[in-house]
Amino acid sequence: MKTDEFIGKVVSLAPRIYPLVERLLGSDEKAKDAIQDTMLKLWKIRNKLVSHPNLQSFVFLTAKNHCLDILKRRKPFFEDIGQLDIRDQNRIDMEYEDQEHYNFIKEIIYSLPKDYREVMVLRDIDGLKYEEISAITGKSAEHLRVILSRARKIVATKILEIYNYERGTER
Amino acid sequence: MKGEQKDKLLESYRQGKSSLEEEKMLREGNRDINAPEAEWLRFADQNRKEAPFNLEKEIIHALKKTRGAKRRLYTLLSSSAAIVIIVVSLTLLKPWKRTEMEYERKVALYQEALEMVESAEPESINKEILYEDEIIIIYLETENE
Repeated sequence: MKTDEFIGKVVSLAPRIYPLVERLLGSDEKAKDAIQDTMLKLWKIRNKLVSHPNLQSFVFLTAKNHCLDILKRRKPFFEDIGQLDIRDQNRIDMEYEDQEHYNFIKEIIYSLPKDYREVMVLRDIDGLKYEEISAITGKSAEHLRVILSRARKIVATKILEIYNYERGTER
Repeated sequence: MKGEQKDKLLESYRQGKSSLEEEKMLREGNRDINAPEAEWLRFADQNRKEAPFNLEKEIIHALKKTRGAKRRLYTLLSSSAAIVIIVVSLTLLKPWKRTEMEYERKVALYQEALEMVESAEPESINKEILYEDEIIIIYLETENE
């Protein structure tokens, strides 16, 4: 694979990978370094990439695995690609009420089954396509749609429960 | 976004059938949505990370740097290899010694030539004077064996 082709087919995916990597590693600098390392890894095997049947998925999978390798060096390590930004514990730029709502939503997301949370975060926060989520999770696009639909309904129901509670109706 | 269109979009979002573009519209217009999903869409919008605008350029720069470093390494290695080959060749072939030998050979040849000339000369000759006066000398030569 020539340089131009590599830039066009692999490096051009960097902006799409970024949200996922940034969320998992928790900082812009770490995310940029990790993406750069991923690209260098792929550059070294560029000649094998020419014949890859699903290059885009392979790039996403390589990026995810690279992030997990970095996270494994941290203690404690829980493999959870649906985890939310570690810096979000206290958002000082928010009003108290907004902060409360924010924490409620976060609790709801963490109350979801792990694979539901992963798919929902990858789609709604990282903005990934089904085939990209499929490469990361190993689930088929059809299965992902089902999971996503269920997860979104659970979240909506739980939010409604909180709102009803806030309005003074029974939870 | 009109109310009916919004409801339709929200319904396809709930069923997991909306496109990324449609979901972006919902996320960005979450304040106009009167449904529990609005809270989640707002949360998603707040947590969304956009890639820095120069990310690709930085990666391309890093790749070129790596390639440049690799090229420099190759140059360094090939230069070192060339130096090693030259040093080994000089050590093994010793061209300066060959010149010295030629000189020695020349000296040897010169000596040999000299010896040949010397050996061409008659060996020491004994001269026995038989008669001698003011005008004439008569002598007898005999060669040593």
